[in-house]
Amino acid sequence: MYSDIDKNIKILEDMFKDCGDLVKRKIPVSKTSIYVLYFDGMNDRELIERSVIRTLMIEIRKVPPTSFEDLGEALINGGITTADMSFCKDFEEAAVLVMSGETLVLIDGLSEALIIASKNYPVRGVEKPDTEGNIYGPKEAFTENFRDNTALLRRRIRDTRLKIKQLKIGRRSRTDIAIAYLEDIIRPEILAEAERRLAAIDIDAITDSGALAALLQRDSLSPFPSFQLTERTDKAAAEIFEGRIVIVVDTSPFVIILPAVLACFYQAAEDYYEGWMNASFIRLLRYLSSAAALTLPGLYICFALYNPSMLPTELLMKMSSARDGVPISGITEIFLMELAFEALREAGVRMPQAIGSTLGIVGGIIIGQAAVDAGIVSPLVVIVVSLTAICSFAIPQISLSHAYRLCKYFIMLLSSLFGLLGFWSAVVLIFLHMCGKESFGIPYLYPFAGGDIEGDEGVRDTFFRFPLIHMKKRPVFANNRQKIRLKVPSDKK
Amino acid sequence: MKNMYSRNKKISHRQLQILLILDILGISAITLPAANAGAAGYGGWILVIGGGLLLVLGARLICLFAEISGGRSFFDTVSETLGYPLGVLLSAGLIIKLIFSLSADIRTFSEAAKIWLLPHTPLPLIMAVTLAPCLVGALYGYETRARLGELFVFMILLPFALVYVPYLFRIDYSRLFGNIKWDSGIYFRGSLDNCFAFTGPELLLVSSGYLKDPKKTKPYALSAAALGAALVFLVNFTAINLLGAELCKSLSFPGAELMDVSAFSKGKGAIMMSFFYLSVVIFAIGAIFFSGELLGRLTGADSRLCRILAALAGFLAGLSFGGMEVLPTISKSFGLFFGAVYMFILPVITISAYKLRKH
Repeated sequence: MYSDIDKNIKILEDMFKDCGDLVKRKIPVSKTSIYVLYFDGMNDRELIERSVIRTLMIEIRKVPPTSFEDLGEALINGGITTADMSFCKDFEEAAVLVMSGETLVLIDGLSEALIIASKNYPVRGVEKPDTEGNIYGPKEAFTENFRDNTALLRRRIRDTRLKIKQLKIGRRSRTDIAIAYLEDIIRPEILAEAERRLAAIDIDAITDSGALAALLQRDSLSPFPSFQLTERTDKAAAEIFEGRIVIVVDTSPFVIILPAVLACFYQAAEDYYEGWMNASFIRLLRYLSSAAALTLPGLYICFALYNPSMLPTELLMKMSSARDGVPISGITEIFLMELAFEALREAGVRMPQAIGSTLGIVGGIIIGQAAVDAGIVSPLVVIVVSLTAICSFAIPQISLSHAYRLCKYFIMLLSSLFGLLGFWSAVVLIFLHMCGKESFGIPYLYPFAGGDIEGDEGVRDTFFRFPLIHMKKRPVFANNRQKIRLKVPSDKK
Repeated sequence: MKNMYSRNKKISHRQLQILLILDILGISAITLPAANAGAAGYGGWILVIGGGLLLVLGARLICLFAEISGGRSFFDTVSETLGYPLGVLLSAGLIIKLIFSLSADIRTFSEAAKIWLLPHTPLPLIMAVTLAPCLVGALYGYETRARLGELFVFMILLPFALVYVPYLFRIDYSRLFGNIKWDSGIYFRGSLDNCFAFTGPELLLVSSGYLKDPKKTKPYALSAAALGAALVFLVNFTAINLLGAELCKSLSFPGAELMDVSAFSKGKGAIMMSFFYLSVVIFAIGAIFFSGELLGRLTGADSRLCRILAALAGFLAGLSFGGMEVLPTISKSFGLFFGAVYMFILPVITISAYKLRKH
């Protein structure tokens, strides 16, 4: 920046040409002048008026005309009544800060701009999580406000070792990103890799955490996510305590959790707020449901259409009588029904909530029943498709549910072509893919496969959730020197 | 990134144990009862015990070989100990053995799949569908195979627990030894055949470089060999004693057909048989991977390309077999020669030469 205020104003106004929401004012004061610049609606107007404009007008008049050379210093040392203030010498950086909601003040004769922290976006408050409901435990979700989100994390982890590193990603969006972790618990190699991947991202804009997470994922051809997204503050904090990284993205109510292995997607925050027996039962139910969501239509094709003799005779008789008069082949029937259900689900998600539930009732019950009555589809296919859908909703993380949905079609396709052999081939291929997949160096199927780590307790939080008193160690994500999280009196002896 | 657990191509002893059990199980578990009943009638299951004991002995020798190899490749170990020409010859022979075992397993399984699952589908197509995931697995690498084995071992052991173990209680033990004819020649030859029918231990010859600690393999490999043989024994024992020796030897896959005949309605054997696909996959991935690696080491070609070639060779070899009437005979003669060489003769000679050189 230059010491000539007019030169600076010219450059800045050129940069912000045709920005109708820009507020700019040059205030001439005796021999000198001051220039204030900010975007309307993005900051605390009262703070600007009270702490900046008004103070400047009063303070400047107090300064004797002979001392105008020291005006900048006088303002900094007492003129502006806000703690969060900094200097900026670069136009680009100053512009980014103004666009982030800060107020820029130029003083004639000063070759730096004063940046006054005055961000105040129109944001919604902290609300209940929409996508991860619960009965017990906190009901607090992240918001679109970056600073609120980091504050929500900081509030839950009152430890000086909680580090929140900030950076900006997006050549044009300049989106604020924060990497939150506990410096003594995290594995340094995981942190280094996450930072390296973030630094390597060169994109014009990041509009949501999901987009950033997709850029962080290495195997873009995999349907399985190697990151988790959550809007629950308690879950994000718990993951930091386990040695994982939480990435907060400005304008997104979802934070990214890294690394993520398959077992993580079956863990819900509520599992740890209730008794281990109930939690274990529900956990097991989730695993069984996901297996059903993945394989049920494929198995139907194998058993009903390729090898009906494998079924008990009574069931077989019922099935064949149910299919009497159905004009389309069994394979076409189940594919059509699955796709019809997908369309219904998609429509239900996009519609307003009230219409969405009506759509579900109309589509699922009325049309389904009408199709069966008309003899277009068999009741068993409706049952199989509905059961598959219900089971897919039992998976706590929607991203994994979506991956299973794609895999389900793959299994259905191979089952349609080669019956039970195709079914097993598809299952083998899916498992092979999962076995070869890793998230930041950790096997994706850990601790089910590849979990040969001495003394590791990862398996205690998988199909069953062991009593908390027996889950003394942190999972594989944590640094080996910080494995113990629970100390009981008997251990201390 | 410095990796914590993976991409080091090393597997743990637990993973090795699982792989070995699945390799031994292979498809032989459901085909052996017919051969054993044909060779020794009601005493067919005794052949599995003899074969199992020989298998443990062979596995012990191979472990000693793995110890002296200390992480080096099979070709390097043999070349340095027995000389370059023998290194090349024995490596080429091992490639042939692995590809033969692969093709025999794939062909046998495909024949079974054609009978039960896909009667109207051409056999080459069934073989290709069976082999394709195995090739993908081999391309993923050895560690992925080990992880897959960790997952599948439970799926494979489940039918054993649900089907074969309950069958043990339906056997009439009062007549167990009554129908057995004792002929030491038959039992010795049959035991050898059984021992060489167990595919898998030969993979230990080439896998030492992929183990985290090849010098401590012995107890794990021996227990796995014993457990694998015990599972095969379970299938043979129940099949021969429940179906009867005559019926058993007339069936192609008595291990699976046991369910059809003894328990439920026709068709349940297909479910049982389909589980064996998983153990076939595990062995086939190993066979493709190691034959490809050895081929790559010998020719200097890209090992991934070599794995594809190995799978292709296995497919073509499998096609060339004359079907289930001829396949067991070929397998027996081939297994006897190559099994004897790689399970007993080669380890003994290499270990002796190594010790002589050392002294």
